[in-house]
Amino acid sequence: MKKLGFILLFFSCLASAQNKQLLYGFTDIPQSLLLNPGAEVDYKWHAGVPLLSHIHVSAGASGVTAYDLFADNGVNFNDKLRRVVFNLDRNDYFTVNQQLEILSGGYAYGNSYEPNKYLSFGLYQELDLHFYYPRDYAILAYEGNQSNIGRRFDVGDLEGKGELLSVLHVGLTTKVNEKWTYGFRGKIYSSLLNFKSTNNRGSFTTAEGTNNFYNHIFDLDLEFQTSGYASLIDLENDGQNDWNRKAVKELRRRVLFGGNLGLGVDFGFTYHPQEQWTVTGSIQDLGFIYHTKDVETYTLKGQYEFEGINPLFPNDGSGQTADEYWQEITDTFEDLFELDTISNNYISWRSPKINGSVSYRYGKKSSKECNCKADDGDYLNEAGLQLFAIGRSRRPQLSLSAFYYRRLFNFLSGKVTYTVDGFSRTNVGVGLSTHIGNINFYIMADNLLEYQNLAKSNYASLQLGFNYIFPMEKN
Amino acid sequence: MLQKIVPILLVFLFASCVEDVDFDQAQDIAVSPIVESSLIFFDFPASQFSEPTGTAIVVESDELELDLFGDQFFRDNLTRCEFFFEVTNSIDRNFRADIIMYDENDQITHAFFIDVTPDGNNEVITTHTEVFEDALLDQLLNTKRLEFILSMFPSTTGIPLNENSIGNIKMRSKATLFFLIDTNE
Repeated sequence: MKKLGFILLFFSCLASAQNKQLLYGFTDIPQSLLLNPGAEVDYKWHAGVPLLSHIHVSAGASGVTAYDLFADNGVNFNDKLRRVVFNLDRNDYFTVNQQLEILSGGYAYGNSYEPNKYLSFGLYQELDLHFYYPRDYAILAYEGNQSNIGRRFDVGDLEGKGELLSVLHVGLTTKVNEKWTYGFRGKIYSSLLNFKSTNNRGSFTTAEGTNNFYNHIFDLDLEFQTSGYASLIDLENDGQNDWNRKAVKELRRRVLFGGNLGLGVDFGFTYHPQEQWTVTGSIQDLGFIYHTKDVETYTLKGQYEFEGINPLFPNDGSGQTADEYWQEITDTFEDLFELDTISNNYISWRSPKINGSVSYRYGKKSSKECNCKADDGDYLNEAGLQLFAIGRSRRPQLSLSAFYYRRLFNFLSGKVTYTVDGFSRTNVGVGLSTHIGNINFYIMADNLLEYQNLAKSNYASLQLGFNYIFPMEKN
Repeated sequence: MLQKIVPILLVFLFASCVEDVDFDQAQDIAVSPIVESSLIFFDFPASQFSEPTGTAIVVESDELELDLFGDQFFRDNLTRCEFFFEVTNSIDRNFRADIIMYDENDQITHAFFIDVTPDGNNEVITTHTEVFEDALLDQLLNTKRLEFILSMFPSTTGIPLNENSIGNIKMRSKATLFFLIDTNE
C-alpha cells in the first residue's frame, strides 16, 4: 500500500513544460548540445542560421484544456466554467516557454588527426512563464464567502513567476575515449524582465463571530517581486504605439549585458558501457540572476480581525470619540490592503532541468556491393528511455519518454517519442532532421494524437531550425 | 524565403487544427458570488440608559462614513444587497433603531427603522431585513454616510432605569451582497 502510494505520488507529479524529449539525444542536430553539453559530436563545425537556428514554443496547462472550457457542445459555458474552477487542483499549473536562438556556432579542435574537443557558443532569448492555479482565490471569486463560512482560504495559492531573458553561452565538449564524452557550458544571463511571487503565506477566513454574526480574519503576507518593469511603465510616450516602440527598444538594449545579470552552468555526459548501449545525463541552468536594477517589490502584509462596527453610544468610558474609533477602523483596513512598494534587490533562481537516458543501438546498414554489414559504426536504429525533470517552486515536475530513433536515409533521420507527464498519458511526438548538402533543417512537434484538435490537448510544443553543418572528413 | 516558410509552418501547426470550439462563449460568462460581511454590533446593559424619571426618551446616535459603495466594481456588478439585523432585548422598554442614509450632498437617500418591543425582562428577538434592489440599490450606491440612532421610549409603568436595572439590548447585523459579474454592460 505504501509502495502504491509512492507510485501514485510519482505519477501525480509527472509533468514538464520545457521538456524537449525529441531534441534530447538527437545528436545530428547541433542544438542537442544545449540540452546536453556532453553529447557526442561528429561534425567539424556548425553555424546556426541567425534567428532561425532554433525556434521553440511550448504551452501547457495541467488539468484543463481549451476544449474543456470552450467546446461547442451545447453545454452551458458557465457549467463548464464551474467544473473547471472546482476540478482543478492548487498544484495544477499553466506554463509557456519560448526560445529563439539569435546566433550559434561551434567547431571541433584538438588532435589534428582526430579532433576530440568541440567548442560551441551562442546567444538565445528565452521567455518562461509558470504559474499555479490559484484555486482558493478562484473559488472565493466564484462563490463568495457566504457558502464558505469557516473555510480557510489560503492566500499562498497565488504562486508564479515569469522571466524574459537572454543567454550568452560557451560550452566545451570533450571526448575522452570511445566510451566517455563529457561537457560543460557556462552561461551569462541578462534578464530583460522578471517577476516572481513564490513566498505568499496567510489566509482569509470568515468564521462565526462571538459578538456579531461573523468574524472576518485576515492574515496576509504577500509579496510580488519585479525587475525591469517599473521603468517600462514609466516610459514617456505619445500613445500606445509610441510606448510599444519605446518598450521594445528598451528591451532590446538589455539583451547584451544591459539587464540584470546572472550566471549559470550546464553539465552533461555520454557513456557507452558496451558498444551498442548508451547512457546519458545532463543538468541545465543551474544558475541564478541577481536583480539590482529597476527592481520593485510590492507587499501586502498584516493581520486583522473584523467583527463589524461597534457604535460608541452610550460612551463606554474609553475616552475615544466615535470619529476616532471610525478612523481607526478605516486606517487599519487601508493599511491592510495598501500595497507597499519597496525596492529590494533579490535573487531569482532559474528552473534547473535534468535529463537522462538509457538506449540501445542496433541494425547496421548492409552494403549491397559486398553483401556485408557496413563497418563504419553507424547503427540505423536506436531505442531507449528518457527521463526529464524540472525544478519548480512547489515541487519538481517529471516526465518519462520512450523513444525510437531511425536513420531513414543518408539525408533524413527521424525520432518518435511516447511521453507520460502531468499533462497527458498519451503524448506522441515526432521529430525529423534533414541534411541536404551542408544545410540541416529539423522540425519536431508534440502531442500528435491530439493534433487533429489541438484544443483538446493539454500541451503542445514545436521546435524547428536551420543550421549549416560541415561534416568530418572521413578517413 | 525562409522568413516566408517559417510563419506559414507556424500558422499551419497552430491554427488549422483547432475544431469544435467556440471562444465567443466567453461572452456568456456570468459569475454570481455572494459575499457576507458583518456590519454593526453592540451589547449594552440597562444601566447605560440611566434615566431617573421613567418618562424621558433617551436617544443615542452615531455616524459612519460609508465610501465603499462608491467603488466602480460595486456600481457595475452589485445586483442586490440585504442588511439583516437581529436585536435581542431584555430591558423592559420599547426601543427603536433608525438607520438614515445620506449622499455626498447630505441629502437622505433612504431611511428605515426597527421597532423593538419588550416582554418584561425576558429576551425578545426582533429581526429585520432591508432589501436593496433596483432604484433602492442605486440609492444605496449613492450613500456616503450612515446615521444610526437608537431611541429608548418611556416606561409604560413609569419605572426609572438606574445602575441596578436588569436587562440588555444587543444587536448583531450583517450585509449580504449579491454580485453578477458578466460581460453585458
